[in-house]
Amino acid sequence: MVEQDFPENPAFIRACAHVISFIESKPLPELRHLTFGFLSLLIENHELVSSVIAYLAGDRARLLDMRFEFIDEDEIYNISPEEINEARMGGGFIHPTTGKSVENFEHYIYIYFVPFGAEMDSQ
Amino acid sequence: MTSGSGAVTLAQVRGELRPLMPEIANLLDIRFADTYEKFVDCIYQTLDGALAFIEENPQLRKNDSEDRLTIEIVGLLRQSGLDASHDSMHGGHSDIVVKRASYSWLAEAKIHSSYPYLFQGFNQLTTRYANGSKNNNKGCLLMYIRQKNAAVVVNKWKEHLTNKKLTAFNISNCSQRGAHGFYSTHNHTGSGCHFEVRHIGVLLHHDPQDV
Repeated sequence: MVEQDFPENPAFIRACAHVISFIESKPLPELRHLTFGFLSLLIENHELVSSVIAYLAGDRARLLDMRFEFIDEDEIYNISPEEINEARMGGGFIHPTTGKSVENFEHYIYIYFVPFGAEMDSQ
Repeated sequence: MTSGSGAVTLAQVRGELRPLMPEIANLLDIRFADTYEKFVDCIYQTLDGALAFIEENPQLRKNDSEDRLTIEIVGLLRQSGLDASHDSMHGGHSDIVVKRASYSWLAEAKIHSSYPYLFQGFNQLTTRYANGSKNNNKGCLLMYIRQKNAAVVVNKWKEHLTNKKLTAFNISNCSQRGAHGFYSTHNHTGSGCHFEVRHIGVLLHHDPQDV
């Protein structure tokens, strides 16, 4: 699919291929928490890092799924996009344990990726 | 592989890191777009970045066909996580289609040669391809302009379109494109509801006078 989508962009195809072959070579438990920094190490051409990850995690390729987690010191909570949207719409973000509103909550919500469609709830 | 190893926060991607990773920032915006209007806003944010890139080097594209220019734009949209596609055969699809769940947005692209030709594109977009339903009531006409004075071309196109006396026709400014773009709304024949078109003049004139 990548070749068909970018027939005249061999550098982009190569960069995607590196990420895809890494994902295909690893068992799922090793892929349960791919950070932006980690994925960027798989892509030699640094100028392509953002676009390769966006394409692979985008609506078309759907190879990676973008996930979110709220981290408060040692506590980590998975958060859905809907919860984040609700918080941004004015409801504020409520700490999952303390029940208190978290100011500037987007500073504590981290992005990571998993293979699309994989059940990764056993963290 | 823990969160501490190269993890970024929402605040960082939406703020200080946006210039460094615009495609990821656009992907985030799309992921959080929970209305058709937000979906289209995300497309336009991405499209504006793609057009700025294309307009940087018109000399590289002076011989490009309509399809080739459009395919390049589609590629840039895909690189920001959008499900964009292109139908070079024009076989019942618009030049550019972006879909997400039940949302769809269409664009027609024309190399400007005459105003009737642009109107043909406008009609294809609004009467052939877009059904005007609530999740498909916005589209775009991309005008690739190789002539001088693109602002004059866009303005004359605006007059040409206004003179067509479309039902419930209205025009508004486009702050992002200034003199090289505008929005129109009119009554979509099929749906009977308002349909919004963003008209964009893409600046591809290249005629250096220093040789």
